[in-house]
Amino acid sequence: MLGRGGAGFPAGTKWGLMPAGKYPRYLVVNGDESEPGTYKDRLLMERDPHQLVEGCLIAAYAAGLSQVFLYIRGEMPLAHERVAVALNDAYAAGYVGKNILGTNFSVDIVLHWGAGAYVVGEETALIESLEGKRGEPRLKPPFFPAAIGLYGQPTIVNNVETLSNLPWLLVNGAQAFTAIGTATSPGTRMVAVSGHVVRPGVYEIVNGTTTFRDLLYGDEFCQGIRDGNELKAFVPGGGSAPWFTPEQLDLPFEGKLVGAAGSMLGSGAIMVMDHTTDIPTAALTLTRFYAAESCGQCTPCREGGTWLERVLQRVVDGRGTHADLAQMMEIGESICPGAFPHAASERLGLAATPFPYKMTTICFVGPSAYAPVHSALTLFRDEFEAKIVERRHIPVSIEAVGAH
Amino acid sequence: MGRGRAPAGGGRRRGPQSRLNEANVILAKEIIGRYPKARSATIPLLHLSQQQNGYVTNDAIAHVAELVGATSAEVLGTATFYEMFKFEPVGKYLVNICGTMSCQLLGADDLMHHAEARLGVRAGGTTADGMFTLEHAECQAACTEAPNMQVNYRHCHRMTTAAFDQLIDDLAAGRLDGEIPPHGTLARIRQQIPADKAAGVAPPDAPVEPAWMLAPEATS
Amino acid sequence: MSSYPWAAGYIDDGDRPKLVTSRFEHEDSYTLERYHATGGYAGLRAALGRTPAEVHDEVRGPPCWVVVVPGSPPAPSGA
Repeated sequence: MLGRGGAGFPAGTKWGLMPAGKYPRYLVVNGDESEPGTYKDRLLMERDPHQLVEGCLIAAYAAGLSQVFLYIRGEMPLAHERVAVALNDAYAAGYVGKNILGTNFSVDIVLHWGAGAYVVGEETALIESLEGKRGEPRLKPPFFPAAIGLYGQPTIVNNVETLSNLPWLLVNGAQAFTAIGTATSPGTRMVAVSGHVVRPGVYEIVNGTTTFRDLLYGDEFCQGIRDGNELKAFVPGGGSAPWFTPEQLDLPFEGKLVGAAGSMLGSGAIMVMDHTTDIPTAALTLTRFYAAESCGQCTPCREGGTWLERVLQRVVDGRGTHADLAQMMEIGESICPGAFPHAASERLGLAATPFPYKMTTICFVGPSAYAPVHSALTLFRDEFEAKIVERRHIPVSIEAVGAH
Repeated sequence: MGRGRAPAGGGRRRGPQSRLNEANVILAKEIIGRYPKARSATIPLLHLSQQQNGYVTNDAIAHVAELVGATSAEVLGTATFYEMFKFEPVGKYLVNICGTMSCQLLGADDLMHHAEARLGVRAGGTTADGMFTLEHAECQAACTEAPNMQVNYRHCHRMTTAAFDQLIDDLAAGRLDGEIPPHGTLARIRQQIPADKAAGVAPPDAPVEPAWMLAPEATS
Repeated sequence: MSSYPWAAGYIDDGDRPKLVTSRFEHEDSYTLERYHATGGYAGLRAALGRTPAEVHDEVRGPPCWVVVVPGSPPAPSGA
């Protein structure tokens, strides 16, 4: 099965990347969910903590992992409480700890608390944080956590949703799992759709076949855009993902196709903007997030993210110049040299630039600060121009569409 | 829990009382014992000190450093990386209003303006009575229930200005004391690993292949 | 608008397969009692009835699952 963390890396293959015969090996559970728009891991931990515990145990058994660390984002105390109670009950019932269910399988699961740092969701930063250090991502390659991870030992970092799938998979078998979804994207996945839709929600959807149109307009999903408004744009895969417009609605939830169309599925979070949305302001909320969450290791991200935020703020405030627009693209070039992925646009006569991008930073936080700016500037440049020329907020809802 | 709180804007508390107390030292040692290396307990112990004192004091940093075998500078370096650790007194209630995309699209800016007016402080400030600290926050993982906020990290969904006023009234009157503990306390239930059930830590310098990998014993 | 007042945000109408959210309909889905009553820890028992290598193969699945996107950036929250 494919990992549900964002990169879509196959979980079973990841386990197989550990060097043979090197022990001890650790499992670090990534419950530090903080990608803008994303929440599925929090619900899985709050609503079904035993399922996660069972998934951890299956992984530890199969991959020979000697100790499990379950790292939960600090700002989720309810998830902490639910997982703590589940672990206490599971220890008492003999599912966790020494000689599990009377076998020679023995493993401890240690509940660990985060303390508020988005970048710690990156697997090597998570490991640094778990070692009691600042959560700064490690340079990789050459060494990935499967080879050199926690305390320098082979370490598997799996997402909460990935592990939560394992109990079902073991009971029902791989055949039943692959029967759902498509060959390249089997199973289901949880997506959170938020923003300007009638019925925002977290849905478990069939992987690979469900389209964005199904999700945004379908009766069993979001039931359309609020107030009968028109869709302007949406973020298809968490705040880091380049944006889509209504032209991409018929794409299915399938990583390769979405990648070729210029974005990514990432963490399964869709944020929807209707025609009343002030695009530069919406982009600013995301860029401000990534600028604030930069760990500060890499100059292009630390300085570039902050510059992007400041320049964009100036434009949003009506104090920008045309040179500012060029400057933002130039700053972005220093973080991600070369072509940056974006969606096709018939209106603008643009062809898609496929995923992924090149980057001058260790991790994705820097490029993520640029992604909303790049998408907004590429697809909605007229709104930035309006802010510069007219020096006022765009009258978005008045003459654009007279839907209501 | 005895948690003498320094007045807002007052000096940092010093002295032995802001080191971990006796009960918390016992708890700290138990937490440390779960990790192959003591320093991994740094963040949990900093949370413990914040639970005791309401914020992370210099003395607490020194004490955590002693307990995990690091220098104070190392612990301070770790602590300052994470947003949840506060190094000055904050209000009994930390009010975090999310301003990331989905919440912004559905009115987070208005909610923040209202909160500033209602509490009489700008984002980042603490009310004079030491009850509330208002902060701008980033994504709280409840995006479908926008606009969102948290009080001491407890979620409040689909907030309106009226709901905000009601919440502040309830908090000020102590009507939510049972649901929302004072700042610093996160989960009110902790993991317990009974000694007789523990599999034990797996130290990185003990290259032992797990028993079940060598000779799995199937369940009957 | 959530399907269940105890699971704010979660919506499950429609007859889609539920692999990870099957217990969300129960208010006490987080308890060991409910977990036992809904097939809980059967996956662990199934795993322990086989060798670790067999379990690993089951999760790895048929070779067609292995789709590695070259140059894919690291994930925001593990994989």
